[in-house]
Amino acid sequence: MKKRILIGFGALLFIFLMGSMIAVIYITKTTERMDRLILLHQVEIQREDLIIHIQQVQSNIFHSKIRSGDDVDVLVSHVQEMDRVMDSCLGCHHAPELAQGLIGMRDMASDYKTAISRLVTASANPATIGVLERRAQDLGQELITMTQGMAFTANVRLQQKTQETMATIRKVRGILSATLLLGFILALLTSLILAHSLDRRLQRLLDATRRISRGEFQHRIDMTDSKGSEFWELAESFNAMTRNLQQSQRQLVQSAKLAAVGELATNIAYEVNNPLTGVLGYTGLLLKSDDVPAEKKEQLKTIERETLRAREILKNLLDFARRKPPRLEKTAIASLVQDTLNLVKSQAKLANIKVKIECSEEIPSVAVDSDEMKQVFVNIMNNAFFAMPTGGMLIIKCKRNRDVEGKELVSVEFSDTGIGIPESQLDKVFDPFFTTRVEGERSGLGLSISYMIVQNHGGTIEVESTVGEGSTFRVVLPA
Amino acid sequence: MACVITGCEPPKEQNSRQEKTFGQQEILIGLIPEQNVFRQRERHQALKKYLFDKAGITVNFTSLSRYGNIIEHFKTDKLDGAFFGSFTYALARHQIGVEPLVRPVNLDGTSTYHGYLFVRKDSGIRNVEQLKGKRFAFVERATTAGYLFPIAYFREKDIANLQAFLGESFFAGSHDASILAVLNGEAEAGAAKNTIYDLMAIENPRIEKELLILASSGVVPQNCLAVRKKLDPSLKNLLKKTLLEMNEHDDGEDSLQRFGARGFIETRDSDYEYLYKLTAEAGINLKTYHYENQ
Repeated sequence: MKKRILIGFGALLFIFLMGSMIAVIYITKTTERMDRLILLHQVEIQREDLIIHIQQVQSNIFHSKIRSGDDVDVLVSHVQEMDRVMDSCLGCHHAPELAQGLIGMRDMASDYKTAISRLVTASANPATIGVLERRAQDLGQELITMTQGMAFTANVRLQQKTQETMATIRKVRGILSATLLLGFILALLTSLILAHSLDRRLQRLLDATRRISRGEFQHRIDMTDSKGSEFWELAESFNAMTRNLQQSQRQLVQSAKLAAVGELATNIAYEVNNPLTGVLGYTGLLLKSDDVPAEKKEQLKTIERETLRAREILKNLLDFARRKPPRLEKTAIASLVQDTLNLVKSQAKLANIKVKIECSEEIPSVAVDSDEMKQVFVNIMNNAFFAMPTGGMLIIKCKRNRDVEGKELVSVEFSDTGIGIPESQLDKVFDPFFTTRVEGERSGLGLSISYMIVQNHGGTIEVESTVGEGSTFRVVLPA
Repeated sequence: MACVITGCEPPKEQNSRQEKTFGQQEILIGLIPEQNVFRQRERHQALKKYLFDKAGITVNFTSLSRYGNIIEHFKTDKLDGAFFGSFTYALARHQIGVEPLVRPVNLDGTSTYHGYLFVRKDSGIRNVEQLKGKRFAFVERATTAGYLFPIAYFREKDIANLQAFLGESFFAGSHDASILAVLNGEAEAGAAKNTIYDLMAIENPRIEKELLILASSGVVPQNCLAVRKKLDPSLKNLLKKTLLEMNEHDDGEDSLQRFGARGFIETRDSDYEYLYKLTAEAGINLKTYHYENQ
């Protein structure tokens, strides 16, 4: 999920950067055009300025005091201003035809200045002065006409440039709006995808939590996310938690069941054992009596045998109920497994079952009561053999691992290729008297006793099974 | 700036003027219209900047439309100094009393000029006698090359009554205007100073091609900077020293180039000996000469 969020934010950042870049490019482009337009307007203002200065000079020429010499400095300053504006016009970059026009204008301005100077300084008869005056006037007017002509040309160009710039601005506005809209849509889409993805997963987690709170401990979250992702890890942890919760719950129920059954069994055993002793005693007397016909004695023998079997069951019940504390000794688990296998090897061979042990010598020793633990292993193996009536494979694996608190554990797994246990029966396999075998064949106490032994060792025993594929019993003991 | 040299002002005002001159270092210099007034003003801008940068003197130039106005301006106390043509200097010296300081050295190394008398080649005129009844363009009644020299020359040729000899004459106002008047056929002959004539001939090939120089005068000092006598002596000396040393500095060289001179040299009244001789030949009394153009 972190990856997705990062990708999402990366995509948003990319969209933002792209949008910003496009905006900057187009704003720069528009600004450049605007600058050019402003420059053209400035040039236009300069032209207007030039015309004003020429007109001022024209006005000075015909001022009555000019020729008397009083306002020559005013005239000179106006001509200097006219020159300054003209020089700044010439200083700008222009198209060749415009530059040529400006050079022509400068030459004309030079002639104009010469004519003015001659008019101002000349002392001659009125006719000559009139000629000089007309020449200066004509040149000035011609200069104004030329400047106005250039201004007109420039105005046309200015209008054209203004229209082009406005078109660019409209285009830029459209592009920027589209970029913003697209950026917003993409950002919204990315956010929705992220939010939906997050929400879907959180809903799954919430749903799972609710189901667990309703007692559905078998519920697991589907591991649809890629392995290693945060939600995969969260689902994995959640499933592990519910698995442990389910196991603990099973163990609690199992313990309660066993305690209840144990108390009941003890009471029944005491109460039933005494009458059975009587029955056995009187049956023995009758069997020894000569008054009892031989055919009746056969029936009495049946009574005695069944009574003995009943006593055996009672004995087992008492054994089950009166569990003594185990005598713990450090024992290598691999050799314990091997010793146990030796006890049932012939039975396995008869049932055409191959047994494979994968127990390394490096597995640490565990503190167990060897006899009791062998009894556990024998019970589990017997069940496995029974689950494989036509033969099969039993794999015994020893593993070392750690619990959630970090304590070292040793587990022994017995995996068979038998018929498997239906889901509905998984919770009952450790219950006393629960058996799938025909009545009388077994007491149904083997796995219950095994459960109590392992529990007394501070360990756990659990089963996983798939019908048609086989079952795995796992005994976990503290190392 | 106004009202100081006539002696009518009370002493208090005179002191105030001197203090102002010391404090502000600001002077007004007149420019006679020896050439196109606008071009002349451009040339002198280079001096204005240099004098301010180097000596802290603020120089304001004023362009005059007549040569004779320069003396009028001194009389009304408008001017602290002026670049005088040699004839206007002589008039100012004798009529109002001015002190010469420096004059420019031309780009060809000379510090003098002389007058030309010229005609259009196609007029067929090849001597003074042939000018009879023709139109003549003078520069100004207060110019050496543009009036004094041709008058003296005509007198030398025994032509005393010019009005009767020439068909028509007029005053073009500046040397370049006189040259252009002849070049453009407004007059058959004219007079002007050689420096302006030669400069225009470089820029305009028509002058060499279409005009013919009939006579040349002797040399007179190039237009000098002369100041009123009562100008503060320290300012006067600072002005003179700065201009004389101008060609010794890089920025001075640049300014001189724009001004159109190699440098400045000291100028004395004795440098005008030839001019005084010329005025005598022309029959002009410098003290009483009325310079108003006709």
